[in-house]
Amino acid sequence: MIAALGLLLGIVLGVFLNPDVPAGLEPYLPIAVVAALDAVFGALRAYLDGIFDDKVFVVSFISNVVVAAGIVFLGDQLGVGGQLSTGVVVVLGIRIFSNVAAIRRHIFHA
Amino acid sequence: MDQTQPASHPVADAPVADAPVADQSATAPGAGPTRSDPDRVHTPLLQLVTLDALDSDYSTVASRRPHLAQRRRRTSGGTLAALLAFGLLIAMAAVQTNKQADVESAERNELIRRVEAQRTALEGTQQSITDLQETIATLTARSTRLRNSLEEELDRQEELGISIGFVGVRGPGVKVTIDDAPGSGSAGDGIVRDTDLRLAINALWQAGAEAIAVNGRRISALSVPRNSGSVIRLDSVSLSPPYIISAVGDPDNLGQDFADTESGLQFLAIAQNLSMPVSISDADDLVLPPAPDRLGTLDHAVEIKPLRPEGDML
Repeated sequence: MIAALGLLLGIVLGVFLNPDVPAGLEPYLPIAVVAALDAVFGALRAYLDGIFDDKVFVVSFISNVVVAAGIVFLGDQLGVGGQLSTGVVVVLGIRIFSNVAAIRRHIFHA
Repeated sequence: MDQTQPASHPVADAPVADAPVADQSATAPGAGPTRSDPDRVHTPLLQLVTLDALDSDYSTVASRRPHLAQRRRRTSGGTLAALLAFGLLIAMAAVQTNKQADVESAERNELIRRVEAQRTALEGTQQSITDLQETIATLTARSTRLRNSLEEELDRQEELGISIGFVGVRGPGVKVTIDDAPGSGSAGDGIVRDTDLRLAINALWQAGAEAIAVNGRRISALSVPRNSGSVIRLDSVSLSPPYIISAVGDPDNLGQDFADTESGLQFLAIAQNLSMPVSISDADDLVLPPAPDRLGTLDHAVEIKPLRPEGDML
């Protein structure tokens, strides 16, 4: 699928171009990745459910990344960065697990 | 109209904000569909999170455009861009973690290197400590030996001092008394001469005397009775008869051995021939003073250093 190709292209570009991450954003990159992962799995599940909409996906992707990074950044300023980061990761992890479970049901029971 | 539809409010799409937003919507005045869903308020948080795993947006949009629900629009540019960004993010995160790992490994190695360096330095220092302790032990042993030598030398010096007459002594011994022959004038054979005294003194040395004095004046290595005219002088002091020669030594044998020596026999013979009265008596406690210090200063003799053991001169 073209979407999968797009993903692959992104990964290849990232590995070979090796863009420099601004030093200020470096600590938030992992949390952004997890948030993006959650959006992507949600989109995959929606696609398998037949209710995928690209606009919703793009919006949810961007907002997930921005909000997750923003919450951890705010936590760092307040001094509870570690705890907030844990909370965000917990929730995102649960959502990823449910979406993956639904996807699994689609793939193996369809 | 639903004014608080989640779809129109981007922040409400954020999954982490769902639970609190739901709570707020439930209590905010004029809240939309969430208000009519009190179940959200009562479901446990974990269950809520799991239930909301899939954005309700998807179903809302799909229900609003049912005729488009089956259209595959995944290939739109937005989706592609988002997936590209996602790939980029993953790659960048992986690369960053890799670099981080290198940095951390380098830091760890640096720390290890420093620890090792310090440990080596510590071993070196401990080795120095051991060496120094050995040196201390060696020096202490040498110091003890030197102290013992010093004590021996001091003892020897004391004995020598006694023998050469510059240290006062007391002890048992004998007294040899000789007087001028009665009836002799100021000059004549019957007068005791320095040679007679010297004979007696020599005899006493040979008999084993350790210290000798004449009329209370000590005989030292540098003092000898000498006639000055008819007067016998010792250390610039005139002696007058009777001459009492005190000798500290073995009281049992000194007197006997004195009479056995050649000088002693000569002395006794002269005394007898010239009728000079001689008496030899034992003494229990003789106190002999030291010779005057001024005799001990050397004007011409210079010490040769160092002496080899056994008295060999270099």
